[in-house]
Amino acid sequence: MQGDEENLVKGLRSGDERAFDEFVRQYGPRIYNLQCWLCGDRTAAEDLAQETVIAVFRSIGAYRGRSRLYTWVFQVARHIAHRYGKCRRKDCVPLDAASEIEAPEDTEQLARQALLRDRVREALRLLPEAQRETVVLHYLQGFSHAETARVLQRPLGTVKWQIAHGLHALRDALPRVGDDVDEL
Amino acid sequence: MNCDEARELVVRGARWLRGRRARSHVSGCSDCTEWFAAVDEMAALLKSIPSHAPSDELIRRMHLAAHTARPPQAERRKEMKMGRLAFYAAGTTLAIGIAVAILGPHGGSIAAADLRRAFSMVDVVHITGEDQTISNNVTLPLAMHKDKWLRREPFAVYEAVTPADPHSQSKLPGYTFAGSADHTWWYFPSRGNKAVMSKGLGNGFLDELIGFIDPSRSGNAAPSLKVVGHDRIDGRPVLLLRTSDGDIELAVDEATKLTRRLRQFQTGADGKPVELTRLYFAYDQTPPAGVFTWQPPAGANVVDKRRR
Repeated sequence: MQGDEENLVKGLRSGDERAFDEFVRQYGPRIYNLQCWLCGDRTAAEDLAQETVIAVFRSIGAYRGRSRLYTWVFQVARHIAHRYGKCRRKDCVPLDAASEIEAPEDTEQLARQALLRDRVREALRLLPEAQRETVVLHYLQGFSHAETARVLQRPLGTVKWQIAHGLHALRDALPRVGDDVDEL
Repeated sequence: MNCDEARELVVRGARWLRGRRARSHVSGCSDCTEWFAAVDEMAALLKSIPSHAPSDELIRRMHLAAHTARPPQAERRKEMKMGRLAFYAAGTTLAIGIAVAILGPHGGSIAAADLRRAFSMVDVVHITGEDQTISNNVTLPLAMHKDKWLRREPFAVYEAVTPADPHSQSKLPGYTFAGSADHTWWYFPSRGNKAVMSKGLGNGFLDELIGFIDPSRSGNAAPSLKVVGHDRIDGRPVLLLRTSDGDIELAVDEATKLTRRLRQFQTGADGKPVELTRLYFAYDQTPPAGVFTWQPPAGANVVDKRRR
């Protein structure tokens, strides 16, 4: 564990308010971004992100420092996302999952990027969970192959193969959620 | 070597002879070349995608959640211990059906359905209003009460009827709780369950207690248990179960299948077990009226749908 991260964890464990603020500042946006990709619903992702933050604070004592802090945070977020996913499949009325398109910036390119992101988010929901997780972790969260394998507790080769399959599945899914990607 | 095999070997990074053969196949096969080109294309696409940026309001809510979720200094150590106890209390409940069915000649299995029947229903509701977002998430069910809830201040809840609000539909939120310094009250309304536990547990670790209601949701593995004997609590026969390390003992009512008592032990300097904690659980009790008081915000459309 690196020095800054170690100090942050120490602060969280001791209940230091500044550590809590620092954690939200550093990790809050990443957690929200992660939940958006995992659950595919920005509205739900807001609540899931909050829940993740609280779960991290309450269970920080369980973090042993054997991996990066964010790796452990991801596992907490993943558990919460899984629970949400089960709830959605079982008996919850799904929220309106229509793409939320941000107000376009001045340039057309930014608007197209936002549209693409929303489409990719929708398409990821169509993938099997294992493929979705590997793709999200590696390409959208910046984990290396090895880190992805460690977080998901799968062999490295399996992760690489799931990523490759996931990318193909994503490519097939994109046209089903909107205009042909080539048109973007 | 066919295309699928070659592609997998290349992706997995196969070395030596098989790897060389696979790479040779791929480089000379138009289908495989196209396959890998598609992978590269999607990889490049994903790398170009911007992140989802949280709103300022969400960041503010996260900061608020951070501070209100943080227990007072004096309670933190106690809650760390209580959290572990709560984990065992809930986690072992999941294992009871298995442990007792396999190991228990004393009273048969305890199914999750039996646990759920022990609870009765309360209404949990929400309100219309500007920032009355309802969440299906188990720890932040009511944005209006979020700060109060997390600080364990008293409150009451009412239901709103806002067709535009997807959360005002028939599906109720998940689990909620409130508490005071001495008692913690747990409500599990979405599945017709309510558990009211007196004396002792902290406000966190809802994940573990979800196992009481819906074992399929619990993300925690139950510790191994064995039945060690019988006892009586309030005149009722209970089964005694111990974790494999002997640190935790649960007393489970043989008829209702509810956990009635939890004891924690530690080996003393003389090698003998020392009892550190003893918690008792009571169910279906009505909290004092003073625990839950709350004023709806001005202009809110409030409908009291509590069952009488």
